[in-house]
Amino acid sequence: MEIINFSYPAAATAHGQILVGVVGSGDLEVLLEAGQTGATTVCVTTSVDGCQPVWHALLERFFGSGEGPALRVEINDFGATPGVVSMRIAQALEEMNAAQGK
Amino acid sequence: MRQSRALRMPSATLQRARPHDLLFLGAAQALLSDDPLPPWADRHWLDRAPAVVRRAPTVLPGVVPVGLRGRTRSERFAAWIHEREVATLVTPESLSRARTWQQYRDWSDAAPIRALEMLAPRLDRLGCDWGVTGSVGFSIASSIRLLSADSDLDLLIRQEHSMTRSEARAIVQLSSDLPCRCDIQIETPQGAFSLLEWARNSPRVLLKTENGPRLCTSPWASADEEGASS
Repeated sequence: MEIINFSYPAAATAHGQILVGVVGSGDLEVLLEAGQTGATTVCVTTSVDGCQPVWHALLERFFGSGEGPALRVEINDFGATPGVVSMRIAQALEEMNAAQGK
Repeated sequence: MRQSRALRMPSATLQRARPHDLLFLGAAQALLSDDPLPPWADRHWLDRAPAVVRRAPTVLPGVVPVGLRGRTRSERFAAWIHEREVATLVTPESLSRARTWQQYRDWSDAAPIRALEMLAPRLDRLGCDWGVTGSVGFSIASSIRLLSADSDLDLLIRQEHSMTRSEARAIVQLSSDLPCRCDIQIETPQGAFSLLEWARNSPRVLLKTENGPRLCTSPWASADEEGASS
């Protein structure tokens, strides 16, 4: 098991809390919460060791621009493929956006 | 030798192999793969260890995508096998129907085995068409014990027609007091998804199909129907 932390610049704080995905082989949970203004932090706990470069590349695509809302992101990964990880993060962000619009 | 021979069918009588089926190989050289087999997947191991049918597109008729597993979690390898080279096939349902785990009395120290013993009659009472997959299925089908302290119990439930959210919650409730985590996948004609996610009222669930995973609202609808309704 490995715990990896990332931090990205971000805009204003988002509101609400979203949980998508499940605990189970080949899947992951993504929890989104309001972060502190100006920064998105991502904490990845993964059952697969040695994948830091893959996580770095993947998260960069979602949070690297620095233009998104400030979030606290918690990811619990159980050996999901990068495709599944991307799908789940996109799903969580969409649901967060939808909730902001309400 | 404690091999569950009675459960195995000669491959000539088989219908198509489905994901999670366990295939005992006739000969190691029957495997096809992009890269050479890793050292742990030697002749001796493959004589005893079944290959697990993977969910992947059919590249050639009669050639089944399989995953090989070794003793550790990192020992996994993707390959293919000709259906005609399969010596015996064990389905997840045959393991549950035969209560195969009960042959291994000295394995009852393992939490997933105890969990299985608790859950089996409950699932049967609900009339579920269910089977044992994952490391527990592999272990009880092959007599190779691949159960560790943190092993989960992986099960599938075949569900041809849609299951309501409340039916899903009833099954989740049945597994709430088990001594280990239990991951139940619902197998539909389109693919498989997590019972837990369906029970949680998630508007979309992750459906694992032979063409890869997709998020969908109706896991019993084909990709075309789903696209047409959204």
